[in-house]
Amino acid sequence: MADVTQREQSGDGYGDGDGNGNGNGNGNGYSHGDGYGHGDGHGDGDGGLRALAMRPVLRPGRWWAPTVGVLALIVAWGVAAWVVQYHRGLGSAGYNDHAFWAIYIADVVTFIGVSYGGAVVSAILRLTGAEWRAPLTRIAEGTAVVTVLIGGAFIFPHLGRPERILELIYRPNLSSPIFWDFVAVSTYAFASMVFFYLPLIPDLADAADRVTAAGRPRLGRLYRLVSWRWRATPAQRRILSGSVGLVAIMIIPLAVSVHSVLSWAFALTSRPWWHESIWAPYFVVAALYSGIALVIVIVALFRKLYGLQALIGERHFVRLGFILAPFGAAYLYLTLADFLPGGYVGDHGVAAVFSSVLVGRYAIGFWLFVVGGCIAPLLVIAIPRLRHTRQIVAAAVLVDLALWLKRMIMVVAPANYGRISGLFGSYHFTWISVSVTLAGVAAIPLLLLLLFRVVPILSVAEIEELAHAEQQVHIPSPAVIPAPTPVGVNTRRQPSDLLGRPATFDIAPETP
Amino acid sequence: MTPTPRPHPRPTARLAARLVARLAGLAGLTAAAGALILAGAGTGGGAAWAAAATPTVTTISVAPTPGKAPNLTLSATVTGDTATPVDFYVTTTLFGNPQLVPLGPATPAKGVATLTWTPTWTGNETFTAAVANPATGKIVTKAAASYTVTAATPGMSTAQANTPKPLATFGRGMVGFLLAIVFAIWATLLATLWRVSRGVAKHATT
Repeated sequence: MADVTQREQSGDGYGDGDGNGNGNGNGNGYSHGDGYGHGDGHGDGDGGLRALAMRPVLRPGRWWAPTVGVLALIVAWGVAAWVVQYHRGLGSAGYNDHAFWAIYIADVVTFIGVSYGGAVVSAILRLTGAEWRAPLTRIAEGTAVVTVLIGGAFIFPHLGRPERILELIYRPNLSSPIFWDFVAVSTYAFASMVFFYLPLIPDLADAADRVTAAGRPRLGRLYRLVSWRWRATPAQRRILSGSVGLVAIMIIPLAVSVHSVLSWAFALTSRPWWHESIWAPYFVVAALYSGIALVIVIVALFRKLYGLQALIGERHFVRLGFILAPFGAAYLYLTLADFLPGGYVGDHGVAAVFSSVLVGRYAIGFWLFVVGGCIAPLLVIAIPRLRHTRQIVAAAVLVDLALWLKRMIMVVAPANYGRISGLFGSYHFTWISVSVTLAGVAAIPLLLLLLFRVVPILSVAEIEELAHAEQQVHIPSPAVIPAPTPVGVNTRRQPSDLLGRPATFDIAPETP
Repeated sequence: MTPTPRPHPRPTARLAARLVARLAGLAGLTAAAGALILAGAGTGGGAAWAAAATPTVTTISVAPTPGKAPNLTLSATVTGDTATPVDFYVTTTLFGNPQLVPLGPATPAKGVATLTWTPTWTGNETFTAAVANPATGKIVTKAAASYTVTAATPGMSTAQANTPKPLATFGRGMVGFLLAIVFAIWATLLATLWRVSRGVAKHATT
């Protein structure tokens, strides 16, 4: 215990705490004075936290390979379905003269939207200094990267001639919203990768020796290569902190621009209900709403898979729920604001589409969205008795399903409306379109499982930094230092208080 | 004996009496003017028809306008009153029952009214020349003829499409501005990566 305390106060920046394991019990062992500690772990005061962070990399568990295998099979099935569709034509995916935009566009909007949530949640929590964010940021940022790649990939099955997508580069139509979609999504994807990578540098430097010792020398070399000889010196920390802050600021307007441009691909088309000025903010709010919901779901999933309950507690879910709720209410309001003027004026096309959505063939889906995707989640967050992890996760799942349903309706209903005949065409799901969509859904956990097989799932440096800062805030002055407490009783504020429920981090020892 | 003074009429009654008198005067003037109009002193064509011959459209012919394809020249022969304009129509069934879509009016010269028209679609069409009573708006005489239109100009002409839109200049400037922003974002992100890699490597020991 004395060793650990001495290291805490030394502020040496990268003290190689060889530790004696005593720090585990009271949870104060993971402070190195600078936050970006370089402890090598095994048995030291913060060995539990580091072991936990590296567990997916070094010892993911027996379930990992079968799970990845099943998910990869689903993805492969989806790719095979796409190949079949490529040969048979878009009609095999249910597309026709009326439904010229359908499920794949709904998928693009959904997946890129949920990406937005992960990035913006992490950026906002960083910029506002929310201390409880630390165990969540890596998962949220990873989700953002993975989902934007999947969402962008969904444009390929939407195209009958996908090879022509290269024309966006060498024959761009600068007046087309599709071109600007391409620009915005690719820029945002790159920014989200940078945003994921920069906070990773201290953790990679920290884990390089560990993975080498664990028998993965190539990964260790890779870690050293991309961590740029990180030693957590003050100058290094200053540079990294400033850069992360800059990218966090940049990613918010970038994400707003992505979903605005995505909405303009609809709104700049003169079709009833698409041609609405409210659609840009409508899409942005929907993206945030569904994105935060997906962060909740993914965090819950990986918390369960990798045993992160010690770090991610109910309090995190409740707080994410508190962030989720206003966006749900805002989306409900924007839905009303979207329908009211068009429905009141009653232009033929708009009235026909709204009628089909509110009381016609799409009504079941729409009202399922209203009740399941907006009202029920709001009630879960609003009623204290319901405000628990399981219910919040269930509400988040509902939100994501309902928002996909809503996007399907928003895409298909106006596309199906014949402006000359005033009649609706039809769109039907096919095994191909469903397979491709399910492959996208399965690709999220698959890519995240693979991603966290090579990078730490927790931002250890950030957790340590925040815990240390909190400890410093609460260190009493000598004049008010209380009398020594009996051995075994720790009255100092526990770092785990910041991170959810009390934690000890004495996870099962890692076997190299 | 002092005569008993007549009771002074109340102001309201006096006002009403004046109003009635004025209305009566107005009605008289109106009646007089109406009589004059009916007598042919007015300028209405309908009234003129009462005295002169009623116009009759005897024929309508359709032919390509020489040297101005795909324009068509519609000619209607009128007898009787030739001062009233002739209206030309084409029959359409596009929006339901057959109805006359106006193409434009033409005043007869030497008994022939001529209108040049640019068709916007091809096919067999029925053209009508008609004269309406200016007083009632009702068609009093008409003639129709079928004609197969073989050449047409789309409703949105190439010239219209090629005319710069009002915000075209602004749009071009906006594209440049947006591309500059995108370039700046990419440059900033790449510079940030470069700064971190160089900075971190450089300060590994300080």
